[in-house]
Amino acid sequence: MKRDLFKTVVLMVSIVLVTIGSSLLLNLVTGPKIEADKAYREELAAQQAAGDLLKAFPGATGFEDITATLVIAEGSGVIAVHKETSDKGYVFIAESKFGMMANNAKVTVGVDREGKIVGILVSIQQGDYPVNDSIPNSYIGQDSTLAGVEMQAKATHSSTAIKNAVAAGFETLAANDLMKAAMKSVEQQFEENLVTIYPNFVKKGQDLTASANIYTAYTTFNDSVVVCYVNVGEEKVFALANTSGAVNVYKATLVDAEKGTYEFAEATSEYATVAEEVRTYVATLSISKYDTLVAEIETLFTGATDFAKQTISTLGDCLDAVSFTHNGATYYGFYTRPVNTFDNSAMDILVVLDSEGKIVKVTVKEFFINQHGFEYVVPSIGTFDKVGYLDGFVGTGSDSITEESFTSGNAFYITGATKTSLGIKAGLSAAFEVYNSLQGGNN
Amino acid sequence: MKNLRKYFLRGSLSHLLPLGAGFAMASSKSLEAALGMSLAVTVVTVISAIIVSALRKVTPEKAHLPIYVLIVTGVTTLVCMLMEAYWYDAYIALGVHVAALAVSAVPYRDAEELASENGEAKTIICSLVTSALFAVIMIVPALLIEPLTSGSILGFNLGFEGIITNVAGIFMRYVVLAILVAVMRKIGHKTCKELEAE
Repeated sequence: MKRDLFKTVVLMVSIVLVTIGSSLLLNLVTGPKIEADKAYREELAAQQAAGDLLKAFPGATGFEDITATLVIAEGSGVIAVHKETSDKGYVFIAESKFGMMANNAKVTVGVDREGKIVGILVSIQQGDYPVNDSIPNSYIGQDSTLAGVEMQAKATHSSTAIKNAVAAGFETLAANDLMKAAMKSVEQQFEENLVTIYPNFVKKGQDLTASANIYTAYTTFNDSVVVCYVNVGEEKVFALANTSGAVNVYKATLVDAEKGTYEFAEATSEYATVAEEVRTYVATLSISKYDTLVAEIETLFTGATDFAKQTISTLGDCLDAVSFTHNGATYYGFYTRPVNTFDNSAMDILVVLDSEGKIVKVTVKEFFINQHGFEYVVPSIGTFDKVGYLDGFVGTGSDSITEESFTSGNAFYITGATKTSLGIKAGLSAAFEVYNSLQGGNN
Repeated sequence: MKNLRKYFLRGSLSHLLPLGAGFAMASSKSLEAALGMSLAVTVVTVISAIIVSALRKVTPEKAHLPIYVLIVTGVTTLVCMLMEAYWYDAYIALGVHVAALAVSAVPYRDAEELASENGEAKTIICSLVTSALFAVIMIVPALLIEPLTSGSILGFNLGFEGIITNVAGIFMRYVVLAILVAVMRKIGHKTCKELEAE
């Protein structure tokens, strides 16, 4: 027993010593090679990084990494800041996450002493639509306001992530007094505040031709509202209008002269002439859905007569409204167009109410789910009875359109299609809102 | 020859395959990784078995496991150093799996069942057979998966884009492993019956 123990100890010690000896001997050969290879790889990586910096700042003589000397806000996404050695400017590297999978958009941006972008490299992690070359190119020459950068359709999330990363880099430079942040124009600030001013705003639609004092005009994505920038002498005011003649005018007030920050407040009564000019301008545009609405109703209600366009006094997702007579009874038709904020698509919904405010008919041109082929992802969508679902609304009033009734397990929820369910709810709510205003708020 | 067949099919090879499935699956993503791991497995298994065989007469019965641990980990350490120095790409591709060979059941099984009872010649042959088996398990799927996932092999572009995802590649590796297990089980069962009949 003792002999076995002694043998074991001797054997184990011998093996350990032999292993250590062999390792040391082998290390004499492999050690220097491993170190040399490591240095070579680090040199290559440094060259690659320097190459990227040079691409972002063409003509630079060299770079000094000043990241450690700066205060970088946590969560800003700014990874590094390099100073051009002949003081021509800076290169910052920043990243921003986007999408449900938290993919990364990484940018390397060269900024000259005047605060203008001289070069940009963009690297997008797999998982979104490819970003066109025109997107990074649109950043060249921009200042920290990033007023003229492009956003790419179908790559909205990654385009936004690029913009956020660049903005974070500029904020870091400004916060560390390396350069003064450029002032955003009043127009840019209005556009950035538009989602607060008009909560239904998701993104811009088509640009419209300017006219007289209206120097810029565009529709919202679902054509529910026309946005106008108007010159009033030296002053600039902003207006939102629908095709029914409802106009809201907003006045810009400078609240921080040093930073050039404006606040926006409604001042329609103060700018009655602006409101009238915008109303006239919008009436000339061919974006009204009235004719489409009437044609649809004539198909659904054969023999309908006495069509009368209704004024929509509030801005929202209801584009047009009409009253008509059918078999001696009065009805109201509404064309609503809610937007799916998940991927910025719009759903055209026609709602017909009777004089009691009960739903008589609902039709949907194309469900969100069918716009994206979701039936392949959620099989139940493929066999979903759309007509039966929409007929389920007949006879119901505004009191049935509640938050709860469109959630999972309830009457109007479409299994596996939450966004579509919420889109239907938004469309019906918009129709009832206009109906109530037409009835003087009595229903 | 009869003994060699017996050792070759000792126990059941279909059990040995899952024992090494971890490093085999991790290494069959690319041909370079598969070749690297095949070489590492061969060197570790054969050299460990030779040392165990050489020390079999002085190794006390109850001290087998600690002695084998030291031998296998020692050999694995040397292989890691060599790979890091001379086959860096494969070393990086394999990551921790090369070092994890030190605790793989495959070299221990050869050491315990074969090398501790037999001379070096027989040990080398059987260890080479074991290593060759695992080389096939790693290289065959890699030959299929690397071109299908990346459209290239060993860095050579094959002129087409990858046509399956990495996830599908993982599934394919398990399919290939399952087929090999089934084949080995069939062969092993038949041969063992023949040996019993003799």
